[in-house]
Amino acid sequence: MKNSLKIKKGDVFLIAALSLLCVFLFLLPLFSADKPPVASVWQNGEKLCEIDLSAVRESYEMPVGGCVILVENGKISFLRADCPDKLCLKSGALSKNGDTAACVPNKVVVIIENEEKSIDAVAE
Amino acid sequence: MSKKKTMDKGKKKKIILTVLCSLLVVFAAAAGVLFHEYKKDYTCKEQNGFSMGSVVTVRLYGDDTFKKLSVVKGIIDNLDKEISRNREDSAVSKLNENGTAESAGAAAIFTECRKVSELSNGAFDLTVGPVSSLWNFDGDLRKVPEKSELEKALGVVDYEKVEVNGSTLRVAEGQQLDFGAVGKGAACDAVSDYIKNCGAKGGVVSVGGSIFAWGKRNRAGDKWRIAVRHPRQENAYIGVIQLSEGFVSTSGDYEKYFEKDSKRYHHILDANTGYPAESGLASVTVVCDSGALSDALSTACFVLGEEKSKALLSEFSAGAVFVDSELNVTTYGEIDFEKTA
Repeated sequence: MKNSLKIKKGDVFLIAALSLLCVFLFLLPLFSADKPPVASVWQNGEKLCEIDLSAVRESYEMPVGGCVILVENGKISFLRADCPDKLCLKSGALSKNGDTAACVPNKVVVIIENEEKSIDAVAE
Repeated sequence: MSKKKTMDKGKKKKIILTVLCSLLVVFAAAAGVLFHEYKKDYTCKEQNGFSMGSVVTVRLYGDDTFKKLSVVKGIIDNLDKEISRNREDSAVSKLNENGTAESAGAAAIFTECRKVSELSNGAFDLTVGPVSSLWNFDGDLRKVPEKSELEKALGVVDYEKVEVNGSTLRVAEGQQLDFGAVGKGAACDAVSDYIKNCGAKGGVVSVGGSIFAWGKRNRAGDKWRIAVRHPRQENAYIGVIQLSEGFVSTSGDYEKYFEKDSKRYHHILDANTGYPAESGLASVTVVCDSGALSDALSTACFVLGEEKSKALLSEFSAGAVFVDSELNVTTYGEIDFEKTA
């Protein structure tokens, strides 16, 4: 009777393994929420395309209206634009969730889709 | 016999222990799934468009039939037709040309912002039009106006001379209203009622960087995260404001500016001097319960500087994030801000 109540080495391992499994199962959905950066290109309020930037093997240029957008592995940027102020070119390369660049005269917007919602909007 | 009994009891105990452990694992997994479901955002739909010469972004949560951008754009376009100086047919253009015009929208915004002009001793003034025309930050020609030109233009800058009677506005000879400093915030005000009643559970609207956030993004009611742009780096944030509901506006010296003789001339004008404000600030972000006011306050605070802004902000129960030209960050009022850069 006394012997059966004693905690054995195997029990300790079992409890430890189950505890780890519990923690893993609890946190599992958190890890599965990660998504690669996806850029979307908009013109005149219409979404033209979505680009999985992590899947881009070779850089390419994409003409949209009076702008040319450079798509690279993990980043996207305005390369050329026929607008007078060229503010869009100064936006640099977008790579993080929520990054946005726009060419207002050409009505073109590039956004890194904010799947994880780390940022809802940028006050500027 | 007794040995067998003990063994049976031991076996039983092992079975019970195994069942309990299995249940524990199942419960842990179920609790994990439920917890993450509770924290998981409602379905989010986002659309981007242009209105008021700016990018308009509408993001709505918990609403699968998303056809809202065109409505939001329509509301903002209608307001633009009333208050834009850049449209010949707008009510404000007619007011600036003829001295009087009918516009319920412009009258309401002017009346709301007038208190900011009073309490800032005219540092913020919507009659700054003739001065901003001289600087012409929206055009290509970037030059410092002659002092004599500025002095003449400043002669008609006085919000007290504007008469508002119902929806009728009347300005004094030579006066010109310029709603540029508050237009985007006023657009956020204009769409806020629609967003609250369009069937979504929550949403965020950005009109050229002036923001309205409302409702819930998930069952847990997690707060909205609004980044404050870094004043000296593109596509970088200096920190994040968390809020449940409200309007956020930033005024910064980085948006429209030119440099001459290694001096930065930015578009935020001190209505008392006619020159770009020099208060030692690079940006001010204001959070309050009105879009037009948050725009007006961010401009006024930028002109006044941090110390003089506090009394003004307190009058409107507003919070603010100040970033000085050395990139030191301070906050005022009840604002949940976390510096990230």
